[in-house]
Formats: sequence, structure tokens, C-alpha cells
Amino acid sequence: MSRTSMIGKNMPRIDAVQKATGQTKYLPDMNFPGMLYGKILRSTEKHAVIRKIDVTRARELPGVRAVITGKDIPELLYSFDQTVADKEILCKDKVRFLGDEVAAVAADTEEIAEKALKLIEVEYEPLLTVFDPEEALQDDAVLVHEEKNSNVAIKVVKDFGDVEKGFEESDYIFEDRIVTSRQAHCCLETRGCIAQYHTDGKVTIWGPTQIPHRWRKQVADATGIDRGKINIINTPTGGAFGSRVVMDTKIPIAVYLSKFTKRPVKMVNSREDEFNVSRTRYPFIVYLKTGVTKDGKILAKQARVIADNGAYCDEGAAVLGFAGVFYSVLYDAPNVSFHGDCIYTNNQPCTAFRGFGNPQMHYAFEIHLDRIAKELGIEPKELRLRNANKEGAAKATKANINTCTFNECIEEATKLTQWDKKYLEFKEENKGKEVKKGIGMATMLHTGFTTRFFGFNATDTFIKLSDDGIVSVITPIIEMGQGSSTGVAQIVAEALGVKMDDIRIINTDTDITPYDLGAYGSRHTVVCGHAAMDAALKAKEELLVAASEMFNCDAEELDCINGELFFKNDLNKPLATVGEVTEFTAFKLGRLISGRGRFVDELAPRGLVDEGYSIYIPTYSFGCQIAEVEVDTLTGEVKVEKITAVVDNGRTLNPILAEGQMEGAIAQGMGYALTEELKIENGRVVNNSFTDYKIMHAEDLPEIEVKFVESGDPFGPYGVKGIGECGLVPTAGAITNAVYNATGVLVGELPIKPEKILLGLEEENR
Amino acid sequence: MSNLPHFDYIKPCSLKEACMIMSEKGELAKPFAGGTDLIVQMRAGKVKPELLVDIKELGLDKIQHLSNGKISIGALCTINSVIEDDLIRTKFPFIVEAAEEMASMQIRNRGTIGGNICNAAPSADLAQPLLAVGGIAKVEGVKGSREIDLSKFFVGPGKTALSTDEILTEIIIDELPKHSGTAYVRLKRNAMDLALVGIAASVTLDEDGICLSAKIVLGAVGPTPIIAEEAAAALIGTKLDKQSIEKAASLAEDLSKPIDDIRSKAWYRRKSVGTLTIKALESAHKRAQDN
Repeated sequence: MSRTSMIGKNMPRIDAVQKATGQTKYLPDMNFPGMLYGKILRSTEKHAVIRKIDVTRARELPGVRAVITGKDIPELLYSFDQTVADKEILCKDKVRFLGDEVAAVAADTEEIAEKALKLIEVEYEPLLTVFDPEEALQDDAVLVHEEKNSNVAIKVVKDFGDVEKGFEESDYIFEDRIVTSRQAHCCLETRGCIAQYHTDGKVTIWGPTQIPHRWRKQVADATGIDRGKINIINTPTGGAFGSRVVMDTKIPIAVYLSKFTKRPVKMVNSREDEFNVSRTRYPFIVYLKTGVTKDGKILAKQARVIADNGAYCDEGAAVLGFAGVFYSVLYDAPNVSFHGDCIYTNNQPCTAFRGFGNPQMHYAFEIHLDRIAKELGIEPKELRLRNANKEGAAKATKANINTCTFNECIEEATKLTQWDKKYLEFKEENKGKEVKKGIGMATMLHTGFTTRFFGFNATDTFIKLSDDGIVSVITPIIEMGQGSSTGVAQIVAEALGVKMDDIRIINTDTDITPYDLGAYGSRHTVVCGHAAMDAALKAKEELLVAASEMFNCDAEELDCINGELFFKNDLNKPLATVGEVTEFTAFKLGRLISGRGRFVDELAPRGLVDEGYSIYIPTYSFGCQIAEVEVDTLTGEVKVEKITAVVDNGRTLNPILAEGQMEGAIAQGMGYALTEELKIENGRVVNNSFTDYKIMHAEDLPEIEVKFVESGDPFGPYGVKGIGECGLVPTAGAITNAVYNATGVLVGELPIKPEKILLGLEEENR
Repeated sequence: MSNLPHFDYIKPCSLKEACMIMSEKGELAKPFAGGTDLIVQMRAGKVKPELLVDIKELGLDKIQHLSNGKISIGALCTINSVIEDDLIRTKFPFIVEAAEEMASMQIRNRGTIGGNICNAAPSADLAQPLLAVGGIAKVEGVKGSREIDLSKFFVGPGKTALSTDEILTEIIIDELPKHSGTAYVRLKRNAMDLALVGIAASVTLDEDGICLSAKIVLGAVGPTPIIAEEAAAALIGTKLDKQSIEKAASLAEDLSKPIDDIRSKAWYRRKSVGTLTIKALESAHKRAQDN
């Protein structure tokens, strides 16, 4: 029997049967006795002073239990990052975007709550508006937050080396302006919550969340309620992709409605709400300036990012952080400058989204790089290899690259696709054809697990064995569809030597689970998995000691594999089951078996201190994606024929889940490249349904080939790295470069719709 | 999307009864078949019927050859039943091509051909091929039945020539002579989309390969489907060579009246009318030569 029987094995998800049979209860399915329905009255103005709110008629409607406005709740400003707090939970004096929260109702039914909203009268005095972040930077632009002296909401400035000197030494300088779109998360399950304010002042909140422990702080910040009184219970989650990191404004509103009514209050977004108000990926305008030698060596890189912050601050700092660090570290230039600003506008605010700011920056820089390659006459793969990262400290940032698979990923991807052959042959084949073939690549650098942004990055895990050998794992792992609870169960099964079926994952209640930052930034399987492995190894020690007392031998002579105890020198003859040992331990030895495990990140507290990007990322993942496309030059339509994705995942825990993560991310990346774009015209979302917000369907997807390069990470349990985000990061760049290769048209604005390609072709022909 | 508003429901036993009810209730009643458009519009508050008149089981779901050589497609035939019908598959590939482009398998199992026509969306896919084969709408009202030429059926976006008491019962189309070929091509943003542009083409050749008759119908580029007669006329008497097809396509572009909207731009739609007309004619021509 192999020592690692569970790692690298295709194990079915532990939640598969309940989900596939429709038994899993998501938040919208949950109802409590006496529960009320909450609804929000949203601003019908994009930027306005509130003159008057009259709720009299709404309060008089039978079945209405509470109507609240900003006057009924404490005057507090809130943001995900409290240092830039700027949002009133219910706007008292001013609204800043179409859909800003103005009043809320709790009623016996949804219908009554909706009726009551219509009875609330609000008088607005409209103000000037600004929707374009570059216009918002002009001196005469209206201030979205009148008390601030500009519309700059968040600023991130990182300079390494001397870019001006680098540009002087360069043979060529290339400049581009590249624009990315506003992508919506499109979770199957819309945002929602149920809040119960208890008579003793405690608060319980049920809802799908990626970061339950941090939500406690967010709710406390937003409401002034003592954090110690807040308990979050995370419900089965129908997709997240970053949308459930920052607490939704509905949550504090539901808490207040429950406080006033003493009853549980449920609030769930309609799909239109989801598109209209619930925050998207940050759209970037990226100005790039890159200095290269004539043989393609990058001497200086400079990026200026202008991100549309929307009306309120959210994850802007982390998004610019991700954008800056991977831009600065990838391709190992000696001089790098990254300046990013989030700019206030009267648009819907933005939030975290799979990859934070990294997909935006990768799209921008990877297509910029292909233009450089073409103009220098250097083949794109070759240009990338000439600027390859190396293991050790990166030149400019001193970022510690502990496992570097830059070359390996590119070599593997180009080998799998026969890049060298196709790159030349397609050009020949395309001659005189209306439908042209293209192949394009994008390199990828992402985190192996998260950043040290919070100054903390650890967690614990507790494991207890019952008298019958059932193993409960008390872990903060968040299951949001990605299969991480199955991953943790596999790690425990492996480390402790028990059967998957005997493992119970306890992960849904902040009163029970250890403190943890949550599931974002590709961190959870690494962090929680490491702590779980540690706990399992400690529990195993206790188990083997107990078994040694049962069999009168030394604990070192024994091993436990897949639920059975063996002598190490005779793995063919099981001595007893784990259940028999735990029963013996309980009833003959008078004790139980448990283990406490830790993941410790000692460098994390320094993450808050400004050390540039040297310790910002604990470990890096490289990757390379190659897209093969067919472009109809008469209609501009792009058909993606194949995506080949190679990524360094450290080590594969569960191939089928890992491939699934990559495929899902690539599908989302394809949408980002080709169709997805929440359109806000003059402050109003004009495509708030799936009729006109186009995501990829199964039928749209090409063949996707995923190959893992296993570098073996020093932090991850059994060497695994996180792969939640990296699949999406390079996809848009690879597809755009493939279209460039096919047609000579480089579209610098996402999504690369047929109209834009056709316009580019017409320009070329002129 | 909010909750479905309150409404009454009735399931009449005969077509006559259904028309009587519709007549009494006027604008406040809506015939209910697949519901794939109606229910969505009701949820969105776009239509507010007080009464839904269920016409699903009035025997209007048959496809048959009539004694005069024409073909009758019952209004209540689901989109998928049209796709699966052998007669339609062999004789009218462009109806199948249009039907297959519509929505998803689940919606095609529920949505009806009559619903697609009566909803009268400018982007409705089936309107174009049915117009190209001289479709006649047979309708039943309190005063009896009447026939409306499909070319007069569409009055505007969402508007038809039906009066409030009338129900579309069947669509009658002409059988195509030998050496005929048809094709439907359309533009879309992803696998499940409304047509940005939908072009139906039908051509008939003589023994020498000369074009005897042609039809080109443009969808989603005007308030109602556009029968591009001048464009089709340019093909008669030609061998459907590249030049004449391109001329027809260019005329079709001129006849289109596209708008800018969230789905696409007018210039792109107009240009695509030309591109797609060429594709549709080439495909129809090839099929005509094989038939």
C-alpha cells in the first residue's frame, strides 16, 4: 500500500450526493418561524441631496413590521477597509449612485414589503454627476464625496530601481493605453442573508460568505454592535468568485430590521439587484510604458492604473496590490514603477473578483508584450523566455521566488500545442482565407496562496475522534463550490490514515471554527489544509500510542492507513480498525483521541509594514496559457478552438477537482475576453439580465487541456498551491493575442467584441 | 425579476370557447401556450393580463400535408417538435436551422411556433423562414376563421394583426419545387442569444441552374421582418454567381433598417446583413443544386 494513498487521487466530492439530489439547502431555501422579509428602497438618483424622506404611509400598511431610514440607526461610516470608511448603511443626506440604500422595510411577506417600498416618498435635489474616472480627475469634476479634496479614493505607489534611467538605456520604448471591462460575478445563488437579533443583544447571521470571521468585524464596524456578540453561520454557497468577501449592505440592514422587530429577517437579491447594485470587478484604464533593448530585454516597466472605484471604497487597495505585485515581479525587469489610483465616480462600486487586479494587468501587459514582439520581430515565446524569472530574489522588488517554473510552464504549453509549428503554419494557411486561424500565448504569475496584506495569515484546526472512530475536523475551510472541504478531508484521511467516509467537516459557525481570514486569493486549501494536516498528524500520534497499548508494542512500530492499524513491517495484515482502537482507548484506557494543528506564517505581521513587495506574497505560481482561435474576418466573430493551460499547482491534491477549477476559471476568463461587460450608461446599468449580460455556456466552450507542473511548495500541505484564481488570469490575454496573430488586429479594450475586431480590420485595410 | 403577479386561469375545452372568453375579456386576457415569453414578460411587469386562457390541449399541435400540396404547422407545435419533424427536416432545412438557434433545449421543449410568431419580437427566428415560404397564418375568432398573409401579420415590435378575440391556429406554407434550397444564418454573441441579425434565403433553380425564384428575408434589422424583394429580384435569371449574390447582398443591406442598442451597433448589423445574405444564398444555392 502506498504511503500517499489519498493525495493525487480522484475522490468524489463529499457534498456531491446532497447537491446532485437537490437536498442541500441554500439560503433562499431556508425559512424560520416568524421570519419577516426585508426589502431596500434604493436611490432613483445618481447623485443627489436627500431633501425629505416620508415613510408614514409605508408604516401604516398592514403587514409592515418596520420601516427604517438613516435617522433610525447610528451614524457610522463603513468600508471593508475601515481606514477609508465612506459608506452610510442607509443614506441620510446624500446618495451617490443609482441604487444607493435609502430606506428599508420588514414585512410579513415579500409582496407586502415591495408594496411598502412604493409608499415611501423621497425628495431629491440632483447634483452634478461624474461617471468616467479620467473625467473625475479633472479639476472641475464634481466631488463624489464632497468632504474630500479630490476624487482619488485609494492610491498605491510602488517604485523599484530607476525607470527613467532604464528608459534612457533602452533601444526602444513602447507605450499603450489598454482598457478592461466591468465583469459581474454571476453566481448561481444571488446575495442574501437572514439576520436574528436576539433578546440578549447577540446577533446571528446566516448567509453564504467567503470570510465569516472577517464578516464579524465588518458587521461590528457597520453597526457599532460589539464584535463579541456577533455570530456568523455560513450556509451552503452557490458560487462566490470574490463576491462574498466584502459584506453586503443588506446584512447590517437585516440586523437593524431584526433589532426593531425582534424577529428573524431574510433579504435576498433578485437577479436584477445582483446586476444593478451588488458590485463588480474593477474596470482598469492602464497606461503602459516599457523600455527594451533591441534583442528584447526589458530594462524598465512603468504602469499607471486608473481604476473606477465607483461611489464607495471596497477592495480597491487589495485589487491594486495584486495588480502591482504581479506586474512588478513578472519578467524580472531591473526598474519597475507601478502607480495605481481608484477614482470615485457615481457608478456602482466594485469589489473583489477572482484574481483581484491580476487578470486586468495580465491582459494589459501580455498584449502589450505581443505588440513589442511583433514590432521587434521576435517570436512571442522567445521574447518571454528572454525575460524569464529565476529562482531567488527578483531583481527590482526583491520578491522571494521560492519555486520558479516560468520556463517549464512555457515549454510544456508550447510542446502540448505544437506552438513552434502552428505559429509559422497558420500564417501560410490563412493566405486568401476569410476565416483565419490564430494562436496566442500569455504567461501567468499569481500567488500560490494569498498576500500578507492583513498582517496575519494563519489558522488552527481541531480534530477529535469519537469512540467509534468517526473523525470530526473543526476547520474554518469555506466550501463555496470549489471542493475545498473535500480537499481538507483528503488531507486528513491521508495524514491520519482514516477513511474519507469516516470524516465529518465542521466548518459553518464562527463560534466553533478557529479564527481565519477566509477563502479568497487562492489561499484556503493551503492554509486550512496545512493546519488540518498538522492536526491530523498530532491526532495520529495519540492514536498510535493508544494502539501500542492495545497491542503491547512501541508506537513507532505501528502505522494507520485507510482506517486500519498495521505493523509497519507487515502492511498486508491489519491489526484492528480505527474504530476498534478508539473504542479500546475510551473504554479500556479511559481517554479520547484528538489533535490540534496550526498553520503559522511568521512573516505575515510584517506584511502590514511597508517592505515593498519583498514579502508581500508568500509563494508564487507560474503558468502559461495558449489559445487557438478562428476569426471570421467578415463578421469579426471569434471561435475559440482550444485552450491549453499549464500551471504550477505545487502538487495535485485531487485531479478531477483541480481540473474542474481550472476549466471553470478558463470559462470565466473566456467570458472576460469575449463577451462579459456590465454596461453602465450615464450611471444606469443597461444589461441587468442574462439576456444581455453574456456569459459562456457549455456549448461555447472549446476543448480545454490542463496540465499541472508540480513544483512542490514549501508551505502547502503535501506541497500544494492554491489554484482558485490562476486559471482566469492569463486567458483574456492569450485569446486576444491569438486574434492578433490571426488578423493583425490587437484589440486593447475588453471584451474583444466582433465589432471592435471588424473596425480594426477595416483600419488595417485602409 | 419579481414575483409573478396575481392572475386568473382558465382552460377552455374548445377553440370556440377560448375565442368567446378572449372576446369577453379583450386586452385583459392572453392566450397561454408554452409561456416561455409570456411568463417572463409578466414577471417583468411588461404585460399584466388578468386572465390566462390555456390553449395547450385544443389539438393545435400537428404538422400535416394538406390535399392542395401545402403544409400545415399547428401553432401549438413546440419548437423541438418542428425540429424533429421529418417532413420539415427534409423539405425546409432553414426552418430547422432557425428553430435550432432558439434558446435552450428546455425552452425549445416548451416554447411553441405560434408563440414565437405571435410574440412578434423583431429578433424572432422563425418569422424569416416562414415568410420566405409564403406563410399564411390561419386564425380563429368569434366570427369564425380567416387567413392572414404572414407578410401582413407583423405590425410592429410585439404587435400583430390579430384582434383580441383571435387565436393563431396554424401556419400554412408552400411546398418548394424541386431544385430548391433554403438556408438560415444569424449572428449571436454566445451559444444562447437572441439574433442580432437573422437572414433566411430560399432559391429555386431550373434544370440549367438558372435562378427561377428567390426569397430573402431579414430579421432583427427593423421593427418587423423585412422581405427584401428588390434584393431577391436581382437574382432571378442569374446563375447565382458571385457577382449577382454580392449585388443582392448589397441591396439587402440597403433595405435593412437596423438600430443601435445594447446588443449591437447599427453599422455592424447593416454590414452583417450583407455578409450573412451572401452566406445564406451560397448555402441555399448549394442545397438547390443537390436537390
